[in-house]
Formats: sequence, structure tokens, C-alpha cells
Amino acid sequence: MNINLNDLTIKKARELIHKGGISCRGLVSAYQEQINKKNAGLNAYLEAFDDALSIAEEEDESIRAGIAPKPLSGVPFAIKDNILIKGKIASAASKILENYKAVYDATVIKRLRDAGAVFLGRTNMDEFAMGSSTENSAFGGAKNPHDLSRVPGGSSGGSAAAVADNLCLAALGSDTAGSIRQPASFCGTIGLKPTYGAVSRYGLIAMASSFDQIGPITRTVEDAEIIFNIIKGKDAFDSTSVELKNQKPKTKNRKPIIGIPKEYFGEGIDKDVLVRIQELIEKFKARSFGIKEISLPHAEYALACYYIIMPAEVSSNLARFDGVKYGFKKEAEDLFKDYALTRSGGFGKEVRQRIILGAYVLSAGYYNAYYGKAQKIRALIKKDFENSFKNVDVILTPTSPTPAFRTGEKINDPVKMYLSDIFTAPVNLAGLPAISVPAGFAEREGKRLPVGAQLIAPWFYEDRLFEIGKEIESAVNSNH
Amino acid sequence: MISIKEIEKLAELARIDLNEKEKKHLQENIGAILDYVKKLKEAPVENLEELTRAVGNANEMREDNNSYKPGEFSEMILNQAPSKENGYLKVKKVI
Repeated sequence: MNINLNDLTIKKARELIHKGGISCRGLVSAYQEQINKKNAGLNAYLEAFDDALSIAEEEDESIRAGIAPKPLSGVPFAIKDNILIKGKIASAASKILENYKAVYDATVIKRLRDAGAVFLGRTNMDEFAMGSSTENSAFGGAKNPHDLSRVPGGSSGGSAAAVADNLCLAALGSDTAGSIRQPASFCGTIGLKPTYGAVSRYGLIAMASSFDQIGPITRTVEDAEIIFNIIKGKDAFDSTSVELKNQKPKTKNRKPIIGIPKEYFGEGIDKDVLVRIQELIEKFKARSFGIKEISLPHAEYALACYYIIMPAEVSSNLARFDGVKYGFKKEAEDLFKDYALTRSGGFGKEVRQRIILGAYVLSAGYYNAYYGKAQKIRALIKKDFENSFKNVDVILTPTSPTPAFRTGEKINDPVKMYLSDIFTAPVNLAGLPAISVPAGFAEREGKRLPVGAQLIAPWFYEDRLFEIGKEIESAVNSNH
Repeated sequence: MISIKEIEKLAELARIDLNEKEKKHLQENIGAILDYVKKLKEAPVENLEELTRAVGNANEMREDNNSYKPGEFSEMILNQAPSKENGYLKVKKVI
């Protein structure tokens, strides 16, 4: 059977499967064909699983036996390589975990599995999720399907590239400072970073625990909503997770008010990105949405604040990789040398750099000047958002200051690379939910590169992101 | 901004072996990052508490029950250890 994958969404696939128009096996094999055809060029998957078809067949079997299809029966997913799937390798794209096999399912995996999802494979990423381009993978960078000479963004670059080029129907990524939203923006997909605590992190290989969140990368806002509603909620294995109450839309009897932070529209933004966002603002006005300029006065400190707290948490989280319990091991003459050679041989350059920077900002003489100070600034940044949400329902910004950049363009300049996260990192500092939605294209040398718009909502108001995100989808596809 | 000696000390604390070239490279990169973050010095933080987590700060307790069967995962976990003996992880002599 021929399926047009370009138009397919979870909702449509579900209808087809429920009505018997397509089998789970047929759906999965259609995507596997795409993987076989395109993955060599994209390097989006680090591994395609060999059991996907048989799992799809089991799903077909149970549907044939009269058991009602599940919400995600047969839906083919790509999973970022830092999320554990029992019995599969989870390497976080690092040499130190190259052969590490997960001994349990992450909670998000268990929930997707129970809903009938089929896992096609594990996707490429920046090592331990540290990067904005997927170039820091120990297994070679991934490519952007819109222009193979450019990066797909990162760190969930493999997941975003796979969704964008039909190598899966949906994917999971993780977001510590933009790692779901920025690649979604670069690849022209939807990327949702949920409120901190909305989705369990149990089974996610930790990078910076006070920021990390798992979220979906999809083709439509509605698909992101479907996945979010399946993976969200309290989990006994993650003490920071919470049960989500149904939020009443505050905007029931009026059009939502969209806040535009003036600090985010200064220098350093690509002209095409700026134009796309301004066009979107005009369309919102035409659709009778309220538009209000707001101020996030401490925005200028956000990225610097993040680049102190994050390495501190990294240096602590990655202390566990010692060559004793699992993973890569290098033997030397004594235990100290065992550790030092294992860690220098197993970790890549960026990871080593962040661990050492983390050790620096936490060291006795510098703690107050760096780490302590940054945690206080974090409080200021959270306050900025609290104040803004007294006057607006959501905040609109570009997701990233530029469209996808060229492979190699920023890899040797850490500060330049880090600036990719300038609009996304503040959201993680404050623990807010945000979504990136395609807002059109920027043309470069004859190639159309996607531009993403970011919507930020108050804590646990993901519903508002879905509601207004759908409005962006409709606005971008029409002239008004 | 940061000396090679400091880099060496940090690398020792972090248990990471570095060659001379990488020490120099880290000195430059970390120097550039510290230069970028120095703008935090001017931020107004008087009377502010350190915020370690943006959402939810209370300790979350749960009943100490529903534990795994003893040994349920032991074999799978031990199978991944680079060096083991009689069900124990094996390391070099510490003292």
C-alpha cells in the first residue's frame, strides 16, 4: 500500500489503523524504507532497531483478535539516544557509553509502549546533550534535511532531522536550554519543552538535572499535544514530577494577549528571522489577538547565568562515569590513573570542557562569585516572567536568532555556539513550558531554511501553547 | 584569566587526563566563557535567595515499599561491569 508520509500525522495514522485502512506493520515498514534510503546521508539514527516490525505485527495481531487499538497503536517513534529503552544501547552519543545497554525502560518509554507506540531506533545527538548542532556526537554529526551542508541544530538534532525527513512519525528529545526547540526550529518541525516536572525524567541520562525535561518533536502541534498527554504526570520514580491539573483556559471569553519582549528583538538577530516573526505578529493582530510589548529586564544575564549553573550540575552528574560500574574502561597503573584515562578517553572535548568549567565555578574560592550569584540571578529571571504573565497569556519570540548554520561554522567558538540558545535558555532557568512552531523560511543560496517561532506559557499551561501554536500553524499557511 | 596551573588542578579534581595542547586549548576556551559570564558581576542581587530549582522546592517523600526483588537486576547490571569477580565489581587497590 502506498502511504503519503508527507501528509501523515499521528491523528491520521490512528484513524487509518482504527478503520483497518493500514496495518501497524505497513506503517512501520514504510518508515523503515525511508530510513534505509536516507539515513546514510543524514546520520539521524545511530541505530535502527531490528525488532520494530515484529512489535508492529504483535500490535496487528491483537487488533485482529478484536482488542481495541490503543491511542498510539503502530505509531513509529524515534528516541533520542539519552532515553533508556530496556535491552537497547543508550549511549548518549558518547564513547564512554558506546556499549551500555539499558536495564529498564524510562517512564516516558513505558508510557508510550503501553499506548502501543513502536520504537524505530535511537537518534543522534550532541554527546550527553551538550551542544547546539549535533556536531559533538562521538559518532559523527547529523545533517539538516533542508540543506545537507548545514547542521540540524542540537542537541536533539537526530530526532528533529528524522521527523522532518519522514524517518519517523514522531520523536522524543530532551531540552536543557533549547535542545528540543532549537533543532525543531532548524528542521521545520514542532518541538515542545514541557514545564519542569510535567514529564518524568526517570530513565533520562542526566545532564543538568534542574533544567532537563523530555518532550516530543512532531509534524503538527496536535501531535505534540497527543504525545504530551500520554507521557505527562506524576511518577513515583522522579520526585520532581507532578500531577497536572486540567488548566482552565483563562482566555475563554476573549482573544489571548501575546507578549513581545522588547529585549529579545535587539541586535544579533538574523534579518529574515526578524521579518518572519514580525509577519506573524501582524497576522495575530489581524486575527484580533492582543499584542503587548513587555520587558524582561534581566534577560541579558540569562545565558551567562545558565553557563555557570549548567556546568556545575554537569560536573556533578558526570562524576559517576568512572570505568568501574559500566561503560568504557582504560586500564592504567593505579586507580587514579584508571579514572583519569577512562574519563579523558571516554568523554569528548566539549564534555571535558564543561566538567572542568563546572569544577571551577564550584571550587571554594569562586563559589559565591559564580555559582551562588548565578542562582540568585535565576530568581530574578523567574521574577521577570512572573511579572510578565500578569499582563499577557503567552510570550512570543524567535526560537533561535538564526536559521540553521553551516557544519563547522561555530564549532571552534564556544561562546558563539552558546548564543544559539539565547532565547531558549531563559525558559529552562525559570522552568517554564515553551513550544517551537515553524513560522516560514529564510532563503540561503537557493535553499529554503526553516525559521521557528517560540511561544512561552506560564507554568503548567501547556494547553495554551497548543491552542495558540495551532493558530500559528493556520496563520503561516494562510495569507492573513 | 585562568592559569595552566589552575587547569591542571581542576583536571586532577575532575579525574580527567589532559595533554599539553588541550590544557592550552581549555585555558583559552574557559577564559572566553569566563569573560562572557563576567557581566553577572553587575547584576542586582541584594536580598535575593539562591534559587536551586525553578518549580517546586519541598522534599517529596514516598512510602518505602514496593521495592524490587533482591537480585532482580543484579545480573544485567553486573554484566556491564568492565571488571568483576564473584558478583562484586573489581577495582585496583586503593590503600
